[in-house]
Amino acid sequence: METEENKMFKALRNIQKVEPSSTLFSKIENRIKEEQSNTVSMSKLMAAGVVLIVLIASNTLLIRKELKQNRKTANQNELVEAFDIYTSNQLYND
Amino acid sequence: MPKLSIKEIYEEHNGLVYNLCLNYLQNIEDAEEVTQDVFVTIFKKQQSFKSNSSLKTWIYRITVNTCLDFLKAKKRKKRFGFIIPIYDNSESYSYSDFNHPGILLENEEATERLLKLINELPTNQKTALILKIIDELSQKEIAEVMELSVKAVESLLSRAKNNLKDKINRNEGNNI
Repeated sequence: METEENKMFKALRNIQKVEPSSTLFSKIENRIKEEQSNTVSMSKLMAAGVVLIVLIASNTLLIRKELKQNRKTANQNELVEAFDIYTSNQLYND
Repeated sequence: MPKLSIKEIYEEHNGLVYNLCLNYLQNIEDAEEVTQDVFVTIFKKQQSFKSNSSLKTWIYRITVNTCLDFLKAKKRKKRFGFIIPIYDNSESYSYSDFNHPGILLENEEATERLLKLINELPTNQKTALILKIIDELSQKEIAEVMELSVKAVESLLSRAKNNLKDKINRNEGNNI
């Protein structure tokens, strides 16, 4: 005699196995190729990182040097103004 | 274990993956899409596969998880479209139109009704039920796929069956 549970699941047990479409594997292969071309290799990523660090470091050095130079010129200008010094060679030429 | 090519894995397991996706999502297009995702994941994660579990169990696990991710992503998409309110945290997912080629025409209506009721069950109950009834896995195999104890699977299946019976009775009551 059929149990209640068997009756309940009879429809599910009758579900047939289905073959996937024949083009499915080529679609999967294409997806894998796409993924592979989209992924950047670790060595390339490392190289890009090193280049970025070098760029930032050299920029920082240049900016610091520039600021130091500006500060030095500003101090000289203050001194010239305070002592009313001629900065041209006009007097010498005269 | 010797490393298998993706073609070899596909040839051996495509039926398992595709049919589980079909039974889980009940739509041909969705099942094809998720089957592709599953094999891409297998290809990517093949290195991390440890032979503690069998390859078949590992593939079953990836398939179930990918189906769930697909349903979650679909629900999220709909939520952005304001079809589902933002405060709705229920486990119910939105399924595409029913389109299962493995169901015989004479059983179609009854099976569709039953699968729709199974979709309303909590996710782990639905998974255990599909693996047991349709895929005919043993409780031990289901426990390995779901990473649970055999006892837990046993109780999950019993709750699933009781819940489903209730739903069927309620459904029949509503139809009268």
